[in-house]
Amino acid sequence: MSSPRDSGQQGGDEHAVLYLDGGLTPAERAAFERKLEESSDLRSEVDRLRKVRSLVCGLTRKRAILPSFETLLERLDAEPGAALQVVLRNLPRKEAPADLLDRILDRFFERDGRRRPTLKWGAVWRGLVVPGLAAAALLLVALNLHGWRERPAPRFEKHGALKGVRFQFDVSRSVPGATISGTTDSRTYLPRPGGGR
Amino acid sequence: MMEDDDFELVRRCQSRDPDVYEAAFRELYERYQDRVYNTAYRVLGSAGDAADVSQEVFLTIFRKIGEFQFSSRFFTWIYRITVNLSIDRRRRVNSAPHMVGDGATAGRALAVLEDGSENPPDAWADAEFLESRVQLAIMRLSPKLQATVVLRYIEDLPYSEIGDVMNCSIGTVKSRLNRAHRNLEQSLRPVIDEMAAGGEE
Repeated sequence: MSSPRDSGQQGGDEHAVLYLDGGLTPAERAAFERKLEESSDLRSEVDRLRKVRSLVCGLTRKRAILPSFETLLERLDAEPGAALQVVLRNLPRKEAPADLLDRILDRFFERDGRRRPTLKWGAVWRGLVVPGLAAAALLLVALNLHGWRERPAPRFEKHGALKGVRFQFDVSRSVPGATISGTTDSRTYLPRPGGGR
Repeated sequence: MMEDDDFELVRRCQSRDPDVYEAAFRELYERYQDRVYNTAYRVLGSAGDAADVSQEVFLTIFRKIGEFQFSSRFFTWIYRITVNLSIDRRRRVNSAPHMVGDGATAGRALAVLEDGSENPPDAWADAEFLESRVQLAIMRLSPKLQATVVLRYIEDLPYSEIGDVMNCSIGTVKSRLNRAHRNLEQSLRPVIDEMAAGGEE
């Protein structure tokens, strides 16, 4: 999105700037040079653009006026996260949850002066609980699948013999005083006797 | 993965050994501080702002050196950080061009740029004055056009590198350069006319 400040002169040949900058392909450059030969206005425009380019390219390079490297390091070290970053960079490995649990239990029993039980909670967790939970989950899935397979799919068929039968249902438990009544027609479907729900 | 002369330096900066990475960062700081400062100065027009942004650039590099993926040139990454921080700073500062260099020079430069009314006899021959006027003209551009002009005409980056730095296509770089140049021509017309008149004399 261009800013209002960019709404200056947008006319003129857009290849002129790129011609001066060496940004045209050989074919584009050849075509532009033919246009230059034919148009004095274009030559004047290119001449003005060339002066602008030389003014900008002629700006002196500034030498940095910056603090010393040591001062920069002090500023980095003063940041809250800097010390943590140094620690994280030098951590040898990731700590497993079971190891963390062991360390917490060690600290607890040390403080209390008691001997810590020899049972390794990490081993119990890894050797018993996790496989147990996995087995239970598999069992549930298996039972569910078995039950589902045994459940027969409902089958429906048309009962033409029921055509013309009047029916009435009392639904006053849902809607006080209401009933549903009608007459069956050839489109009435009922579950097949002896199979399905 | 492309190879770059700076990659070895970057790998040392990513080292876990504090002695190694501190020495590497020092070398990086000394190698790039002029380029970073010059780019920031030309976008911001102020020595103080350029120094602040330059320090921010190096602090950002120190914090994020571990994220450098070696998939582009390292100085492209540095320029990208410099340009982004400079543009952010530029947008936060008042949009009117303010002091460039010293106040007296900038004041005269601004007067001539505005309406050409002030015309000291040897203004165009005063290099510092001329530079102030050009810098003011650059700062009248929008931040993205400013950055394109600085990266192309002052830092002499090719179009492809500018596209990488500014995350745009080469076509967009060329279009921005064209627009920037046209706007500079508008702003610097009094200067060019003065120089032409002085030459005729």
